[in-house]
Amino acid sequence: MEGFLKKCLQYIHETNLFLGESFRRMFGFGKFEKYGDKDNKSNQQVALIRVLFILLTISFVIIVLRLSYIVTFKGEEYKRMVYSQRQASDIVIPCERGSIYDAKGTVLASNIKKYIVILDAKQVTDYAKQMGNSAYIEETAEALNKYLGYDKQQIVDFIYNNPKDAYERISKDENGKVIALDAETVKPLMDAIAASKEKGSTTKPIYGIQFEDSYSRIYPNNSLACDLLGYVNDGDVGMYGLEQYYEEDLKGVNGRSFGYINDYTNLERQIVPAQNGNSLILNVDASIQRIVEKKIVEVNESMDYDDRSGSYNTGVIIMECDTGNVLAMAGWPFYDLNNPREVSVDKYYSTKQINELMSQFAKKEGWVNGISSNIFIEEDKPPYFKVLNEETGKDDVVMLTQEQIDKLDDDLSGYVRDGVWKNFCISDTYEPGSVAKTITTAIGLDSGKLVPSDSFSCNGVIEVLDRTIHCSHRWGCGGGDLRMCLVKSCNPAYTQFGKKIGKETFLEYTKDFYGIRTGIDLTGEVSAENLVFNEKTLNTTELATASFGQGFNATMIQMICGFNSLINGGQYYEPHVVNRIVDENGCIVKNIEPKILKQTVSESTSDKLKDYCIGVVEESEGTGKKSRPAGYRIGGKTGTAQISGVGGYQAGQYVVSFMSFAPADDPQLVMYVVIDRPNIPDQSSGAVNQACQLTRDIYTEVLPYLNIPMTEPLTESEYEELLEKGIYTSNIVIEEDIPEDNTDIADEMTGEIIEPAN
Amino acid sequence: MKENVSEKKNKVKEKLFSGKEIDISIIFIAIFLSVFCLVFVYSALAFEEGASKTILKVLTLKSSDRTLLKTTVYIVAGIVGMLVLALANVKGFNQKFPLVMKVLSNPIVYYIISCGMFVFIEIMKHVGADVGGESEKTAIVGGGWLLKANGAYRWIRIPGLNVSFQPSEIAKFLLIICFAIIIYNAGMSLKYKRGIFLYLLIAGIPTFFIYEFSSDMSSAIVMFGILFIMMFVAAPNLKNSLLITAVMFLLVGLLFTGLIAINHGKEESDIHPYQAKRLLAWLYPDEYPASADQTNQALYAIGSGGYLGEGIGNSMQKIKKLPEAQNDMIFALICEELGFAGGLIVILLYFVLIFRMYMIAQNTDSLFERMVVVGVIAHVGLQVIINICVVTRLFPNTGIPLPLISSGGSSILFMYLELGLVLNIGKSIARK
Repeated sequence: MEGFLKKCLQYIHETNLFLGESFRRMFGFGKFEKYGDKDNKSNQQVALIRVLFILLTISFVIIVLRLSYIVTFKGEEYKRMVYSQRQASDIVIPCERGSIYDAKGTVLASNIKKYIVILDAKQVTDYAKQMGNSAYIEETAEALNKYLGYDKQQIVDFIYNNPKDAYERISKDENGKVIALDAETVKPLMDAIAASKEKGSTTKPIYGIQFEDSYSRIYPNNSLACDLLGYVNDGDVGMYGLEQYYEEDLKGVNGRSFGYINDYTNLERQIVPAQNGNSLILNVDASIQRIVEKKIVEVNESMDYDDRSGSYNTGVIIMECDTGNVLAMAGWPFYDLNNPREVSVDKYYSTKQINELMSQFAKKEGWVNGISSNIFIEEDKPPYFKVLNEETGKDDVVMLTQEQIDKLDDDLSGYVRDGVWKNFCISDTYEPGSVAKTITTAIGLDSGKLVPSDSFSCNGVIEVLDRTIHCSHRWGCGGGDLRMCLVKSCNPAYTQFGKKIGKETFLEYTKDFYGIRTGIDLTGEVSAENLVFNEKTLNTTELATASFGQGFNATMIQMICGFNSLINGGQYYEPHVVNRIVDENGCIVKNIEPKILKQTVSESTSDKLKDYCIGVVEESEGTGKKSRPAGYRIGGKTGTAQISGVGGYQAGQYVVSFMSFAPADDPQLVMYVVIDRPNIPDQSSGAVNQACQLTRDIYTEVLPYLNIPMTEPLTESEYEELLEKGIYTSNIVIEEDIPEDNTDIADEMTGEIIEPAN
Repeated sequence: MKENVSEKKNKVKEKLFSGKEIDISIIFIAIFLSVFCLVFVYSALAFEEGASKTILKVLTLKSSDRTLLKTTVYIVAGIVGMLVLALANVKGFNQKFPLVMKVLSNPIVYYIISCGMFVFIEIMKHVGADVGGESEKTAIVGGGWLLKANGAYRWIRIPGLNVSFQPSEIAKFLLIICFAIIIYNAGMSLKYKRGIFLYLLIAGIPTFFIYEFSSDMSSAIVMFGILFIMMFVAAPNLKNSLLITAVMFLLVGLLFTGLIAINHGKEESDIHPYQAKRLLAWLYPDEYPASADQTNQALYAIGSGGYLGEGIGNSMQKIKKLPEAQNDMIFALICEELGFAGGLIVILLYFVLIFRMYMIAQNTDSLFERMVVVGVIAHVGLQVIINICVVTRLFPNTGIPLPLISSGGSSILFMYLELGLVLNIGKSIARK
């Protein structure tokens, strides 16, 4: 034992001595013998160096073999990989859709820059790794939480789970769809990021948040000119109106940034810049449009009856007489262009109507049958149908499944949306009624088949084959010459005038007016050519009714374009909404000049017709008396038309309208007002006054706005009315207030067509 | 008598610089490799700014930290430094500056400088505050004295001048000289196992510092590799050194196998996760696509280059796919643009370079000089082999530059200085 310990101590001592000696020698302290024969070759070392060299050489050979293996056997595969990796590096640079301006430069539609928030997990992970501090990841999540309200833990988890993901769009709506955020929303975050990266910033730099530009359509005036403009859907494609019609001009071309191999196979980052869309400058004047829409809303709100307010549709078009330029066009109901899908059913339909519509849809689906089936919607109960059982004479109750109810709801809101989105002025057809008498008159005069002295004596009713046609004055308006017949809007008279004109001439002329597209630059115009008489269908009865505007369909734009040609000397203009198309710098790309499509009637016919139409407003028996605005003379023609539906004309439902031009002596504007089923208790008498009143209201404000001088003296009450509306007039003579003749209100009553019993 | 002595002294007095016997081929190869360096660093960086691919633009590119400009400056400095070292006459210097040469012949000087740099890094790491990001990839830390990238502190930065250098490259240069002197002084000790252990202990300290303080494992491997090879060549008793070598390989092999066995199949591991991931990505590239991506991209580059390459400047992989294309992965870029042929030329150039140095090592009489040359051969050889093996997936991924070709500052400058030492030593052979 002792011996072993001694040996150990000895060994340790020797080792210490050796190490100390070696260490001392190594670092050159003191004197010592150098290693071997230091300045002569050591054979062993030479051999070892050779071994080293050979080992290196062998390594090089292995490397060369490995290289040749890769190149020979894997070359093709790897080359494919290289190319397949090259595909997904394109970046889209968004373009800006063209704006829409009115004639005065007011912005009707433009874009705002929005931002899609991108989370670059790779950047923040790399940075945190490099700084050796995961607090930077927290910092990023914290910033997103603080400024945009994202869940902090979720962001942190995402970064940890996807450290290589450099492009994750995190600004989403509730449904997980990527949306862009407003500038105001992201501005604080942008500022915070910039501030945190500045030199001398006290907070930790925020990495990994980026913003991608995106443009979003905005309509600064919300619902103004909604039917004209149309809206832009989620895919940035225009829907309805100008947005759809001028889609190609407005949309622009997205730019791209992509890796690109040129002729020298150099890879370059090629950027194709975005081409912004062209802008539209309209003939429409936003001020006039605003007046028109305000008046339409007023008149519809005044028509409050049967638990809903307003008409089914109210359309107004104002057109320039000598160019065909559309100055305003509106079709009530309106919708908010910024939220086109937010159309509430209750706003436009009464409960009764909704129930009727739902019954219709249910019948169409085949869930219920029978004529007298009605849906019943009661609180706390699912909707159900009552169907009359013919055998028992009692009502059977038909319950609907939830799926079916949802389908009905969808159908209903779809139906309402379509109705609201489409432009009544160009897409809906109706029987124009008495307004068409102006066209019949013009045809007669121009063809020589009628002369101004042609007269008719009306006793209230006339039989045409199997039909009885009533005058609006049930006991006869008395008739008179051609002018008076138009002024009084006598239906029996026009059956006779139609007969005089004859089928051929009538067809020859009317093909310029009815059943054709006017070519207005809006999406959704219909021609109604299948709803118009033709050579085969225009028989004696049809000719009689067509001559006073019943029995065929037309659109508002057809009527106003036709009427415009009658009073401007016969020139039928193509209606234009857009004046010119300009590029983003304001340079004109395309000028849209007024275009005369055809000469419809002669100038002398036009002069006569103008005179007749002035009579409609000015004669004491004129049907359009109530439309005369304060201080101006205008001409026009009223219309009250029955509505054709299932089982013939619908009882008690009318389309009332007023076509007018102003000022009377030198027409500059043509306006057409149509109210589809005004919501008043009795539509049959006096309803047309709603149209006349609307016309008057609009003219009262629009004519002074256009600086058209007043020609007529004002009464005191008229003067006060103007003052109230903020219209100040100078050099106006104020006359004595003539008491109005209230005894004989020549309301146009409806002239009914009584159809044969079968 | 006195006159005679002084006359004699004058006669013997050596010139400070002489250079008739220099091995020109090493200079040519080095410069040729530098030309490769400039061409391919330019090629790797040129795409970044799209169409603006003029040399002037790339030289002053801000986005790439002016890598090309920096590399050019260091190459010029390196060539000048190499020539100065090559032409210097040691005997002349000994006569003129005996004190300086005495200091320079003491290994402790080199040793302290080498270790001191890493100790400095460690101290500044804890003392200095973070300053901020220099670029997306590197951050200035340690009160402005350090640069940090990918979690490693590879650079010391001089705050006022905004100049940075890599202490590990300086340490390699200094420690080659240092250990050559140590072997010259006390090589006899290596006869015994104890002596070898002592040597490895002394060599292990700076290696450990590089690994621990600057988190630079690859430099530590090369460092220790160089010193180990020098020991192996110098050790007189082959049996002992072979035994220790075998034991060491066994230990390293066990360590790697253990690491792989523990970590394979796990999502995250606690034991050396970084190294383990690289090892696993090397063995099972399909299972660790994220970690294997860098090597995969390099392989795609080499494979798509074919035998003759796509032509200079036509690499597709360098664009956002091949990371560090101007640096550790430059060999893959060369193979893609010049093909197998280009890669072969580069390897041949290194082979010739090592062969010339091998001839010098074989023929020099001085033990010290021989050990220096062996150190430089080991340095060049190890870096070339490890770099290319990483690129061709013969080794696990680790970041080691290709000598003289990869972009850089300190690595190029000190590689030239090492070649300068070798050239100087080579002169004595020719003189014989």
